[in-house]
Amino acid sequence: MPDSDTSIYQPGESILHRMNPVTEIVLATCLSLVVFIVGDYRIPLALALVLIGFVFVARVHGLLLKLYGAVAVPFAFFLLLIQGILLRPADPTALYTFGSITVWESGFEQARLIFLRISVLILAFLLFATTAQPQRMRIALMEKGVPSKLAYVFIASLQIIPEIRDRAGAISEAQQARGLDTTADVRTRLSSIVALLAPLLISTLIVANTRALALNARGFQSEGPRTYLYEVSDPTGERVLRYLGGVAVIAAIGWRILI
Amino acid sequence: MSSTGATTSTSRIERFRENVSEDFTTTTWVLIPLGIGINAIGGFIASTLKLPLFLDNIGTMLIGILAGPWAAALTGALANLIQAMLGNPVQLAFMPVPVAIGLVTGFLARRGWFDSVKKTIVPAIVLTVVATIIATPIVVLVFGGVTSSGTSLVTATLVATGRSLVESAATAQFAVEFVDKGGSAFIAYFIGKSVPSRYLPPQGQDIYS
Repeated sequence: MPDSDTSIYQPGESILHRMNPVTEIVLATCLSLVVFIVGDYRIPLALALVLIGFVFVARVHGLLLKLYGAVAVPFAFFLLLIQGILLRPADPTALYTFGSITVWESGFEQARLIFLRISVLILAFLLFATTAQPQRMRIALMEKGVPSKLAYVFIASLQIIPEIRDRAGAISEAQQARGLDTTADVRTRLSSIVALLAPLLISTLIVANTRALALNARGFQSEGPRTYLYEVSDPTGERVLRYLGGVAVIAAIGWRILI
Repeated sequence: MSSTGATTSTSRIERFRENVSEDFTTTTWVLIPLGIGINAIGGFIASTLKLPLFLDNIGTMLIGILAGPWAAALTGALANLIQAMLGNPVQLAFMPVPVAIGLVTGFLARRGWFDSVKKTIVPAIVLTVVATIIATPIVVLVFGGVTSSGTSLVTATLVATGRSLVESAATAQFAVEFVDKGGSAFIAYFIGKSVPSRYLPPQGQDIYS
């Protein structure tokens, strides 16, 4: 069963691909928390550069940098516009002046900090999503005590999205053949949403009933230990790394309070 | 006295836990991925019909109507995580919003506010207000007032007229949520209604009977 066509997972052999997916989640979360707690822009800048280094180590730069750019470029533009130019700061020191447009120094500093923070968040989670194979992630999560039902829902959602997308495409074509007009006035188009989504919901509800029967027949509601097809290793080094992530968050909070 | 107080509070917690676990039948567990799928498809539908909406919470609302608040809250949270896995991690910061939408829709549906089109006006307004109240602080504190391009443009225009960042972001957010979440509530109502009741899970059958 292809499990890589929905998520943005890129197969590979790098150190990040071999890492336990739980370690990756913990580290991505801790890094994101640290940069939002700390108020100095140099820390998110350094972390973002390290993460970009890992992007190249993992050889996922093609897809990842494209996704990052798609979010970061418009974000940077609006951030600079709102924070740097339009919002009048308490301390009106100009950084640059082009004709009638002034970029305020304090606004620019605020925009730089927010942009770098968001960059760390995006890079860390994209690195995780591109290097953690979904099936390995499910097993790793279940070994850490996540209920099997929750793990099922997670993986099933990733797999079901392209299925539903195909179905929605087919329904859209079928309804257009029956006269659904995608260029009509707004009122008609709004009421067309129901014509598109209702058949989708009915067909998915039927699928849901069948799936529920199939899952119950396979012991979905049963308790007790499970056996897995794959093994996901969890070496001591990674455990230490996860604790260090937690320590970094606490240290960041301490630093924020003291300084 | 204190011991009876303790027993009632434990039994209340137990009852709460029972209520929550009653919502999670196998059908509910299977419905959740479908709700997440419908959330993911909302954007596709909106772009097919060339409507300026996100429609990315219809699935969460439908689960709220059909299976209750707890399942809907879980749907919202997981849908958010899945979006991050599909390449949009910025949404992670907004996780409280879909969770609240799920809870509010589920509880309002149980109280009978999705029984008719006229009554659906109440969930539409409540959802708009709840989404605005939760999203605005996130937009201001985490993102410095910037979200999707459309909303940011409204925020930027308001800031340019001399309003404060919080006021501008809240106004822009309210306008967007009113059209999107309010609209989604009606869409969820009509879609649920158009499904023959024999296909619906128990709570859905109660609501649409």
